[in-house]
Amino acid sequence: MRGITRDCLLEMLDRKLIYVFGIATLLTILVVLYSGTVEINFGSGENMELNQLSDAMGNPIMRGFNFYLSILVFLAVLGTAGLVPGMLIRGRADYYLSKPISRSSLLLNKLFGIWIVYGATIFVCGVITYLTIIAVHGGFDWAVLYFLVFPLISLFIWLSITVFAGVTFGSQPISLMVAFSVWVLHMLVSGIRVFDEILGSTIFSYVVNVVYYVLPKNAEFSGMSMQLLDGRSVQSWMPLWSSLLFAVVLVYFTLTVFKRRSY
Amino acid sequence: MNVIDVQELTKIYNTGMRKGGVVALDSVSLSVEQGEIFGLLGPNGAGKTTLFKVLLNIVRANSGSCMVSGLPPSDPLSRQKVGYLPENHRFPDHVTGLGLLDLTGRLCGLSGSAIDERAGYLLDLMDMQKWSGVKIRKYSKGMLQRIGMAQALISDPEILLLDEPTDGVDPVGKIEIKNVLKKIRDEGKSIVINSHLLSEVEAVADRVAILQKGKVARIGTVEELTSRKSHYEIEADIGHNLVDIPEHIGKRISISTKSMIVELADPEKVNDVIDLLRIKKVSIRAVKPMKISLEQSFFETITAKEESK
Repeated sequence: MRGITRDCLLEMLDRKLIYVFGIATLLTILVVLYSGTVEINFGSGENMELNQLSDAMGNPIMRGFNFYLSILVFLAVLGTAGLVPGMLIRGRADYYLSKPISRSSLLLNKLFGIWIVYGATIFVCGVITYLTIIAVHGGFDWAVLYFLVFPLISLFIWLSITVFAGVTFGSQPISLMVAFSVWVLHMLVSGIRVFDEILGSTIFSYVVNVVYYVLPKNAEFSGMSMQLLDGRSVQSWMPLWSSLLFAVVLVYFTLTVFKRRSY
Repeated sequence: MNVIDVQELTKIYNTGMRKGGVVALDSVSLSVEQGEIFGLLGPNGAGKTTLFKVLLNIVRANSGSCMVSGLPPSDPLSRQKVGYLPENHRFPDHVTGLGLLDLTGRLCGLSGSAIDERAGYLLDLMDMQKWSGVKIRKYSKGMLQRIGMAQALISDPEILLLDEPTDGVDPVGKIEIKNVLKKIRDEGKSIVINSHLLSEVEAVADRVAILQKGKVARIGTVEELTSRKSHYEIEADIGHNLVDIPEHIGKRISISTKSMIVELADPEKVNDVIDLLRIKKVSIRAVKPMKISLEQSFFETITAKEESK
């Protein structure tokens, strides 16, 4: 990886982003520790412990854990959106592009370098938090690996979007706006699909479906990991593979744009 | 052997809505031989930096061709033996000076031990050893130039492209850089310098090209560019002899009891002037073609081109 992964790590440490992940993890651990003492009173004189509530509500602890991992991914996207545009500013692009490394290798090294560094941070934070959950509530399950792997896939997909926008527009704010727009559009389309039959327009329905299938569906990963944790089979792997396909195609387009551009 | 070969290179920058764009390079042809220091001169916007960028594949040319170490710039291997110091560089500032050399070495495909060895040598050479552990963002302009030179040299390149290498460097540093360049040249390596400081280029360059508005206005050795073939200084015991130069030979520019300067219609006519002086029994000590500074040559080339339009 020609030192780029190490450079990404140094950059993260220099920008003190590691502290942001640390604080988020610490706060979550405090919540987990506090949750061990929670008892819910339903007013009928019976107290229900969280573990019993967990069975009744479909594992709220792990839902919370999933949410926490989503926050870490969100933080990673925010923290990394400026890395590629920052690499391509005037004067710095000259430095990187003058080295005996192809543009494709340079960009892929940067993309995977960011992914490895921030993904590893999310993974380690997730493991620490999960170990705390086990210590407080017990019930270790290897299926937790799904919870830890899905955020890494999700991070890669978001990175493909921010890197694409970063190379195309050379701007951190636009990278974030594009990623946010994709997320909003996906949520919107997912919502509209529910009312699809009510709306009854064939053309509209077709457009909505096309947009839905094309866009990444990261928001659906948490549902998939919950199904796997519960020992159920996943209803459809389509959200996963279509999102990954989206990311791969976008990376290919990004490389094409990057290879043709003058700096 | 040419290490850089540029043929009819043209680069036009698109400027949005304006049709035609800005011509940065207009059919530029030049070559750089192995082991020479080549100076690239020109006013702002002449296309000097663009030429460097095309050679490094940072910018794509519209037409023409160029070869670096016998390879087209699109081949990453063409940059394997090239060190580059960009103008207005903004190196990654989250690393230290040593960190920058490490990153650069790794980008160049060097092993860890090779980088350690080379980095130590270069930090000493550029007098940056005591600043090597400090983050780059804390460096002064002169220190940035020094570490920039060091990163350009990390892979022990055969070709060095330096864009304003002494910009912001103090006078002592300038002399040190000049000595480093001469040392590198003596090792048989080629250096292309793009600089506004003409006296510096004159002091180190073997050949020079003057670019103006994307075209090569003049190219040649420093000797060729600074000598005036039609102007001669004749050192002689002229005393109070009134030496008149006939019009068909040339004209006298200045005269003193010890020397005279003449402008000849043809460089061959210098013999006629010598004959004239000998007839008058004037003792001649030396006949020297007049030299001008590179700065003056540059200025004359630029103004002549402007006037011809």
